[in-house]
Amino acid sequence: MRSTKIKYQLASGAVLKFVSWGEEEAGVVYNVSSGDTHLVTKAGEILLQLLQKKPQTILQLVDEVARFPEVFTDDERNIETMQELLVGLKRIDLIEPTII
Amino acid sequence: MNVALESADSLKKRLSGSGCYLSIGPFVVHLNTSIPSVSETLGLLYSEISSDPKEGVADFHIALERPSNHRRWLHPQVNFSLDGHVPFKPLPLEQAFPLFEWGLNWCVGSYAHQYLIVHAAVIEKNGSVALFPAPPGSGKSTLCAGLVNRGWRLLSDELALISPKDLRVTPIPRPVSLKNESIEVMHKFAPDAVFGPIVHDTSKGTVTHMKAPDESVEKQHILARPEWIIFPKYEAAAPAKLVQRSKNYSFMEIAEQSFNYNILGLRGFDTLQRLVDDCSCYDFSYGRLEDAVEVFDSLPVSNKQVVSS
Amino acid sequence: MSDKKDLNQPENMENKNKNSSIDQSRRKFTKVGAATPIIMTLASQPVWGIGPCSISGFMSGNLSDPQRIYDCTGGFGCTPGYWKNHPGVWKELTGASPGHCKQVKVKGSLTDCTVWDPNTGFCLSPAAKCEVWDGSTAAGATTFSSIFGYTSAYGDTLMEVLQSQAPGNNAQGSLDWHACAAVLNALAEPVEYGATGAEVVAAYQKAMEEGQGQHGTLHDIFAQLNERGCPIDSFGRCETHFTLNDEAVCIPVE
Repeated sequence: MRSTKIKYQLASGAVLKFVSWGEEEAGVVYNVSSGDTHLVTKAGEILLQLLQKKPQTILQLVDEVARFPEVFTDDERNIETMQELLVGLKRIDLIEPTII
Repeated sequence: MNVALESADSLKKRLSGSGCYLSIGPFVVHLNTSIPSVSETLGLLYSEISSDPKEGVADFHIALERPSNHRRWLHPQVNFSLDGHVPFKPLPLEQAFPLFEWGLNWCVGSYAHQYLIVHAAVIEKNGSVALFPAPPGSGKSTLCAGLVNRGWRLLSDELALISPKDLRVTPIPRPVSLKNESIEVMHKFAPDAVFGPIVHDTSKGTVTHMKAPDESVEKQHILARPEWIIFPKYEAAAPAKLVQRSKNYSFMEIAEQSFNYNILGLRGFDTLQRLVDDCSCYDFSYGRLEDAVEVFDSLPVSNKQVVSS
Repeated sequence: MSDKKDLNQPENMENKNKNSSIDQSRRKFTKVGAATPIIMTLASQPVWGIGPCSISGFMSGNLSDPQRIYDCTGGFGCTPGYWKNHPGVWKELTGASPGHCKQVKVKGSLTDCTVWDPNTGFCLSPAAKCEVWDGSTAAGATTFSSIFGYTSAYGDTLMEVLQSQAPGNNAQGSLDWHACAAVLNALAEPVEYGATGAEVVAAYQKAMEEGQGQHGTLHDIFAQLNERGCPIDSFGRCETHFTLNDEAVCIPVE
């Protein structure tokens, strides 16, 4: 299945609250629906905030994260890295794929 | 009337009869027990608290009694009950007073959800308020016991009761639990402090309790808002050192050390976020209490006012 | 997203406290892999979750709160003190070696034990009650690391950890201390512990991997399991009011 036919979005019912201190490479995410609290990397935080705004394909996410070069270097702005990040977020039920 | 003003016999008689209502921090605890060691240790370590002989409403109805089965005689045990329900397995009879302390911790941690409750010590001096969240074995209680014997006020050595509304900590000054080597350390560091009997072979090893300083109990109506969150770690021979700590990691650690962060849900998250926002977070390693006192006494004097409830 | 700044700048602290022992270096973040989104998760627990008395509960992460006393139902366990004081039952009941007797008292004086029973470790020559026990590796005692895969700060062997009461290195009340009792209880057939030796070891290894925060939780579980009452006596036989069932487990006499 080509990636352009799949979009990613926050898991159904997930309502997220974010807080982050300082310039460290981490932040705290609270899932209001599940009550789970996660310490996430800046990369994870950015992806969740992007997906909280609207569902996006992997390619769209690769384009979007170009705005954060301090977090996503040139080597990391690619489909493979994005897939790994999304798998990690899906594993803990924060996001889900949806067929366009 | 304070517990201290009552004779040991009278206290023992009341505890085994209709029970005593004890004002412990913001809670009223109704205690029934016919176990002499509990009565005696209570009289020693809770001497400054009020035990109103009138019947009243209690937050917790606690009883400590020996079981009626063969365990009454063979390897005698003690049961802890709350409102007639026995939530734990019994412990050996000689651990009756520690069981009261641990059981009361459990009661507060399980039911006092008007607070965000963190497993932490809280102390105050000149308006500076420090919160020590810590897992067992970190040296938190020893550090707390040491500092309150050098002018710091004890708000709590085990349970930080944090108001979700204004982040103030409600004091619940109770005997400070000490274990193993800490017992001897504290006897030397504070030879004038009052200590309860030493109890061996508990799940934590050898334990005792140090009475809360009288002034801490007198001022238990004075709430205070933390500005320092300090994660202590005892390391033999280590110099006393404060190292600034990630607030993100501190948030997660405090949430993990909280009894009811999950129960409070979004309110718990919001409260903890504001608390971490408001405070400076540090790791603190120390090897000698004398060095620790010096570091804490050099913390800047607060501009914040501590206020009565 | 709220991007909070640290409200208390190190510079202000330093100006106020020239003699302070506050180290101004910020803790550095170990950069996790770029493709790792989650560093850790604190899962929401059931409000009235059953206390983590079971090792399986610990392994599944289904624990309710950081309190130290939990409701335990069923089963039995002998304390670390029991196992330290009754080395003679180790070999027969668990297969683990406690070492052997080092010194006995003969006519009021301590004398080296020269021959010991390979099954119990008790002294055969001179035949007297053991006063000093040798739980070292040299005495053939089972090492902590051979069981748990980790070394213990309190000693090399299970017996040394159970015995350790040295100032500044007192094992009593520690996770390792309770873990030794837990694995011996689990291996001892007459003790209905509720967990196998492999499960005890797996739980310990999980706690080591997950860090300090889980040590206290597992300690509490082991402590509760070890303190449910010991069904065996000094000789490893069923205690008074217990009897051996068909599965060679000591059960209470009805």
